[in-house]
Amino acid sequence: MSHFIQYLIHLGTPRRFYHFCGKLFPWFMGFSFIAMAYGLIGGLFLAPADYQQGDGFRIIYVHVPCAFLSMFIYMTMVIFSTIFLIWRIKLADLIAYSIAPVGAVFTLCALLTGSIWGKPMWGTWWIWDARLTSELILLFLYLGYLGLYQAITEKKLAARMCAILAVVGAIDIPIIHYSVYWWNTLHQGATISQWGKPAIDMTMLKPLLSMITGFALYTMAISCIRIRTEILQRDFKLKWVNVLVKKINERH
Amino acid sequence: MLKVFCRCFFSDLYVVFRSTREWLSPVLFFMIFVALFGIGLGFDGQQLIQISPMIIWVAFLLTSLFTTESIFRADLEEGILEQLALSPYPLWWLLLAKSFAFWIASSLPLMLLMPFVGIMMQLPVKEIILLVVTLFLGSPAITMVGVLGATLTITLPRSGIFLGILLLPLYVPILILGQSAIINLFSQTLPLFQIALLGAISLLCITLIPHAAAAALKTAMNE
Amino acid sequence: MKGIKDNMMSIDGMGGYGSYIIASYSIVFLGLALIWIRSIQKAKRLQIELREEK
Repeated sequence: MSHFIQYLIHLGTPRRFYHFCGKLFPWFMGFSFIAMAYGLIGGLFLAPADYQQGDGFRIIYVHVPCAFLSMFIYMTMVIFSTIFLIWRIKLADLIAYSIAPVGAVFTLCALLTGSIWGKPMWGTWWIWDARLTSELILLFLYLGYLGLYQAITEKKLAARMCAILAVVGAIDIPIIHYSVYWWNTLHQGATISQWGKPAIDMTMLKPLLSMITGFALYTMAISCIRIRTEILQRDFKLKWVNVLVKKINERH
Repeated sequence: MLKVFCRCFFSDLYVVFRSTREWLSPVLFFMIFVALFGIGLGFDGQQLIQISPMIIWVAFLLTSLFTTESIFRADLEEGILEQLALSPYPLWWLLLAKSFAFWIASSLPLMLLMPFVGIMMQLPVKEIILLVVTLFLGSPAITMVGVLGATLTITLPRSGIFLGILLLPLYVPILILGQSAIINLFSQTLPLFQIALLGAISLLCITLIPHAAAAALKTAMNE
Repeated sequence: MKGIKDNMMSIDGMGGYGSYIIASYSIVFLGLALIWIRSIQKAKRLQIELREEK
């Protein structure tokens, strides 16, 4: 365990993390492609049509990964934001800021695909139930985080304020989810929202897990690129960047 | 400690109430909002009664959003905030005093107006009382959350509606609780659970948010 | 297997849900492509900036 922590501390400087991300990137992309290929073929062709929903349920093979990733990325942002707030490790804030736009896009996709799924399945494009409402509020949190970060000109201040915002949002989302769920059940009596995930069997589940893994690996691959870009941008004037650019110039 | 609290509180209160325009415009905004809905829905009396408690709650939230922007505006310009940050007394205590004054200045006039607004929207007396109680218990939470939002955006020249985007996720649980408390117009039972929960959330906000806001403010002042 | 393939050829195939499925899948893959393009663009722009600067 202490070896692992020592390794993490060793990685903690921007320069080493830059090279670390560079090495990981092709692996992430490769495995992501494989996982998504299996997920797509399995989901679109191999899995049998659902008993209740017919072929329409295949939308979950993109909807669920998007929704899952949108929350997973936000949780990662919150973890790195708390690391930044407690231990003031600048790399942590950098990582959180780099992955935020990716999470925002996934949230938007989750909302849109959820809406498209809802129309043929349950008849409406939208419903104010717990999951969709908290997904919408999550989108606002992402937009608020990104907007605040870019609006505050003093970047050190922006980092701290947005970290606080992320943590407050993390406490807020479960509260919203639970309160909307509770209010809906209160209001409609025993009728729980029908937009829950259907019960699922193995042949349908494996492509789904594969798609989720594929999307997650894709996110990590993209994050490698984004983190590297952000590191270079922030360390623009430092010596190691000069050395790196000289090496690239020599090679060309 | 208590003397410092009272001094901060009363001086803020005096500053707000000295200029009539400052405390009157949110009140007028609220009245206009409610009146427009009343005029729009007025002819169908039944529909109006069903929706009006929710409209009043949303009007209250929007008015709070409207006024939150200006909590620290004047103080920031005059450098009072820097002095507060440097003072030997804990910043969160002073912020609590300021928030209390802000709550009195922004929420209290609206709550005093509730009876009139309720009559305007043709609500029964029991409903009006319930509305006042839920707003009374929910407004400290709304105020404190607004203070937090204001400290996060304190360095922005004109936060405007962006403050709304930041505060919307935080307002939503309070709104949902408040709505659920007043939604059953003609039920016999008192929504004690919702009222208790509203009170609990307000208490939680009052105790926790000043510390977070003070930390944010200190960071902002140090830049 | 062949039956499913035939079914998918028409846009309203897949038991009538074809258009919905195509819409949702294309939105998501458009999103993924958007993320990809923006990240690469940003990286390339920064690289050019760096090389001109040094």
